[in-house]
Amino acid sequence: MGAPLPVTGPGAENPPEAGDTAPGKFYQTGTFTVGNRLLAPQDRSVQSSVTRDNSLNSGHRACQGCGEALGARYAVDAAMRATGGKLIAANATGCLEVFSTPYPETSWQLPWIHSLFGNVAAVGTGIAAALKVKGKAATCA
Amino acid sequence: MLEQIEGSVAVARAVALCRPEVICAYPISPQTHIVEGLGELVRSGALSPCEFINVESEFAAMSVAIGASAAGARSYTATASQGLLFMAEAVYNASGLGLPIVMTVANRAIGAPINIWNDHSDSMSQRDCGWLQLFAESNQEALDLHLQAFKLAEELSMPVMVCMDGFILTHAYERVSIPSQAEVDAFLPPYEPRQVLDPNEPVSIGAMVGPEAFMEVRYLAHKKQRMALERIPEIAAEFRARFGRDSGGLLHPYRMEDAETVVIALGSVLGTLKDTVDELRAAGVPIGVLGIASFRPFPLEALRAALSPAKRVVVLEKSFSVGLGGVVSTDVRLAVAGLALRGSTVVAGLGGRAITKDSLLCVLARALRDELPDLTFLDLDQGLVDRQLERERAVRRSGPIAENLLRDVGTVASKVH
Repeated sequence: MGAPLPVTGPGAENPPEAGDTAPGKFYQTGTFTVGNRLLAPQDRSVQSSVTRDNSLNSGHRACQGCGEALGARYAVDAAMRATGGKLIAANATGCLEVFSTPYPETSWQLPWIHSLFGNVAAVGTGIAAALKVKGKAATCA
Repeated sequence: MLEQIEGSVAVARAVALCRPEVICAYPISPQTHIVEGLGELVRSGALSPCEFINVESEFAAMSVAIGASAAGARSYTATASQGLLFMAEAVYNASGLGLPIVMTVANRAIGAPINIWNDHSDSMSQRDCGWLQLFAESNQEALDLHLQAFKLAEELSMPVMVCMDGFILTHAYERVSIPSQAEVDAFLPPYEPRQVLDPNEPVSIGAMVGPEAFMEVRYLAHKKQRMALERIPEIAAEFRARFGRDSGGLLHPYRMEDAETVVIALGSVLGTLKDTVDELRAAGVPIGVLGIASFRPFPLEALRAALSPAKRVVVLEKSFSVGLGGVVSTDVRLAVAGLALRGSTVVAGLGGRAITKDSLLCVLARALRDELPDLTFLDLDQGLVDRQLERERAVRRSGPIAENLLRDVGTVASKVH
């Protein structure tokens, strides 16, 4: 662990290069997570890739180190990858819905709907039914 | 084509002709036959492409409709009574999001005491929810209003409730004219959503709005309902031109020429009222009927214009605001504010009590003599009420009210009048 850690640049437009030791900031977009940075490039997860979907983009109002934001991004990014980006999200009322969206801003890089606290599964069912009848693959998260 | 069919079946056929893409419903009397009818049409392939989703509750039914509508599908559901209350949170949400869902409400009383028969308590409880509320007078109008409802809803991107009297209409077999698919297709264009969940063009729907714009969002819903006051008569006129009959519109005036007394009502009771007024007209009484076909938006100006020449107005309503009186009456009062009109409210037909011509003749005779109090309950059994009040004075543990009253009445379900 004595070698200097590779440090990331601030965004996808400025991808880090192997061996880059310049000081950097931990922006969410385009950054490698700390755990992944310790791994060899071939062992790094999708989440450490600068080409990841980043479905829940940076700039939202979650507290620093928010586990829900991280978890949501991991889950939705994985689903985006699995569906080739053909994904619609339904989100229950809660902190995630609030910190990610106050109009006119939104961190969601995919079609997203919030209806109520207790109906997210049913809303998802409706979306899936609509996609099915319209002849599209029903994929919803 | 003319057919002799049940009102619920007529509505199912009308909805199917509108080519809904997602139908979701939870059965509840007296709505059940409508969604059963649609389920059969989907199952047989007669209605295709369409997804019929069985849900675990009315709350889920409206939520599925919300998701489906937001994903760009023409969406329909139906409910009644407790079901409407159970979905209430989602009912407000659908209108707040501006999703053009069409829902049939087979009007039924709200418990307790539990009661499956007709009155207007259920849809009136959702009066302020942001949905347009259209009331059908007959099975033919119920059928026709669904065609108009989808058109209106999708033009405005606002949800529309079609209210029809439970059992009286839903379960009555009457002759209805069913339009052809080609006629309906020419009247109702395919659904073009204003907002849609589309991976190629992602949007966020339903985000939080703070004090800086919330009031404007709510005002726009009001503005759209006011716009509907223009569009509802236009759509009714277009409907008349295409289908050759009067259905919908804001008001249903009947024998209003030179009417000094006007009776206002909503729904199927207008039929009984018209017969009653015919009898009074034959006896030389200048009396007319004004049906309210669009309860939301409420046609304040049209109502005021229609009532301006009159001397007295009687609002006959199947709804009741406990502690106040009439629900419709309060809105009518706003419409006629400042006019020299004597007004009375007659609450009638709660929980399915029959509204007979004899009782109407009796109450209208009192109105014509200016002896009708501000608030009357048609055919209220005052003795029954007094005995219960006496029991409550006499003993602390007087027991369940409904049971006491039914013991006094004698045989349960022995009569509806």
